Amino acid sequence: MSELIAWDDSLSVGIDEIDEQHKVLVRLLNDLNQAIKEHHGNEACLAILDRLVDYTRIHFAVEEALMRIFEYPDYENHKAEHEELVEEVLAMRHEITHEERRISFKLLHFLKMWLTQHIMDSDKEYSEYFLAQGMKSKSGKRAWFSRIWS
Amino acid sequence: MTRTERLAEFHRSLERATAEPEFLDRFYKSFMAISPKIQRVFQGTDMARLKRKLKSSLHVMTLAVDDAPGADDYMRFLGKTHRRLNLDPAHFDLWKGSLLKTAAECDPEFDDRTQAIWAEVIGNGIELMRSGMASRDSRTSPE
Repeated sequence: MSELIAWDDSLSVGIDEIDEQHKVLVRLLNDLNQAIKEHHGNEACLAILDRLVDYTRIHFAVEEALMRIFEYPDYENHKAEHEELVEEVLAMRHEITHEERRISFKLLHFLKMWLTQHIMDSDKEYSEYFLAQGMKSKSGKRAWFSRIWS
Repeated sequence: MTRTERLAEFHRSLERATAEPEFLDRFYKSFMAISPKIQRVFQGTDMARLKRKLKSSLHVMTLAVDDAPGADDYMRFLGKTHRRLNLDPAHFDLWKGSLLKTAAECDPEFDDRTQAIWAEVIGNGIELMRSGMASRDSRTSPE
């Protein structure tokens, strides 16, 4: 089955730890895509969406913590982008459950568009800044996030 | 001209226009010169960041015209995020006008056909943003 998003180097921000976390986001989106395509049912799809939201919040918290530590100048704007996305997805989720709608590809494609634009525009901006501040691009240790979200 | 050909022409024109290093500065200067109210919207804004965002938005606008999945909803979402700026919906048309004017100044091959293509791409994009900005969600977030 074709994936919604195929990871390639264009999505890399040049920092292994962040790339690994982004790959988990991509995987969860692909999982949701598969669940919708295979008609797993709304409950199963909502469960994947909830995992995606939970993971996204943790990932955003990691990014924002790094921005504070490195005193990233665009921290407030970047944080606002995160908050806007979470608010939008939670509102969409609320609409799905309270109006008894099905999760559709519409939500999925919006998330794909948002994630790819955000990584290419905003995340690459901070990663350039972090690397210039001395952050190492390579990590010798495997990210634990990917283990618990597999 | 097919849609694919029109979008290809838009991309070529955008490339020619942005080859002029002052393109974005000229656009924002033109737009802000329209009124003090518009100038106030940009007070305290990181213009370098805004210019990067504009390039990205133009790219998504072309995706939206090309019916790329998710592009319409992304543009409406952008419109929603603009609510906090308390914009007048008319500002979008003024924005479009300044952008087309600047494109005409910076793209040496800009002609009536190019103008119509820009108007189509940008017009579609701002309509999506306007509809997003205007939408009043009856839903409330559970959080």
